[in-house]
Amino acid sequence: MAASCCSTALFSFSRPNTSYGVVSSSSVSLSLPQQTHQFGLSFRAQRRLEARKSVRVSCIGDNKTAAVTGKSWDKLVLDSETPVLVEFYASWCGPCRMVHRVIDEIATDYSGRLKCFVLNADNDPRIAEDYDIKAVPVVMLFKNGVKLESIVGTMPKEFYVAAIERVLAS
Amino acid sequence: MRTLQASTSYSIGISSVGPPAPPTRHRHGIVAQGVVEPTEKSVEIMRKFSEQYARKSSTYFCVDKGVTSVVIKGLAEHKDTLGAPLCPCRHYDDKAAEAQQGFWNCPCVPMRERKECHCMLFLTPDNDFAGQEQTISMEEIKETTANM
Ligand code: SF4
Repeated sequence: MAASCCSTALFSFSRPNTSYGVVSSSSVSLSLPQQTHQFGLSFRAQRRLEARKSVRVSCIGDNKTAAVTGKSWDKLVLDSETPVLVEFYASWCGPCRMVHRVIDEIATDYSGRLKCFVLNADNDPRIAEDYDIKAVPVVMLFKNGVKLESIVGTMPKEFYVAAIERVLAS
Repeated sequence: MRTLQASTSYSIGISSVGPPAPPTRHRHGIVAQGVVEPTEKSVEIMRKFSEQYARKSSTYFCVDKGVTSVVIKGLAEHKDTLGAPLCPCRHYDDKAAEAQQGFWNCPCVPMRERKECHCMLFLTPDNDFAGQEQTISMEEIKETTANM
């Protein structure tokens, strides 16, 4: 899985991306809806900010964030002293790959303050069922072994950042 | 007590459905993190289906055709293993039962009723991720998924 970066970059933008105000990723005061919808597609207004930015040129199989499995779950997630982010995905889930890229960035941005992992729900059905995973991707945030946030769907980076900031501040 | 440990659960007994798998190839996710490639035939069927259904529903593929390609391959993989193109963007306790039930077979009920495709295969034009294309070639699919 840890393929090196590819030559098949995705330059498939079909519209110019000039007219969108980009909110810096440190801004956490966006007025995002509090409710977690089933599907990310309901977040059109928020996504407008980030859509162009997050559809970024990157290789699709290039997943830098470490994996967590059922075996390592307790140790890496529940017993962690640092807050933990876990992205649940499925092998052939296209939008999960977009979220992977965002999580890879977040892992770098929050290095030392937040641990980031991905979990393949197909390979670890027990954990997926424990956390009632239905639609993927799902991003969950844990602190002291407790799940504090759960974000279903494909969201702009700001949305995850806002949730992380809430967890870090809690 | 918790249920069955990984990899042994939903894959049992499904392989009788659909075309006979080549003997050397194990279709089910026993290989940790291993991504089993769908057959080219099924990819082609799902590619065609996706183009047709996009036109029919006036929806568009994602600006990032990599997303489209992965989903098409996921549908094809389910078609190979389950006999039906079960949505690849969900987790199921029992894939075989789910495929039989049909709610999440592509195009799923939310897509047919409300044009909601959380897999981002079929996007309405007002969606920020929607591109302007309703076609995708086999080459594009291969290219954008080459590194998986
Ligand atoms: S969400 Fe529905 S329409 Fe979209 S790929 Fe999945 S099954 Fe098909």
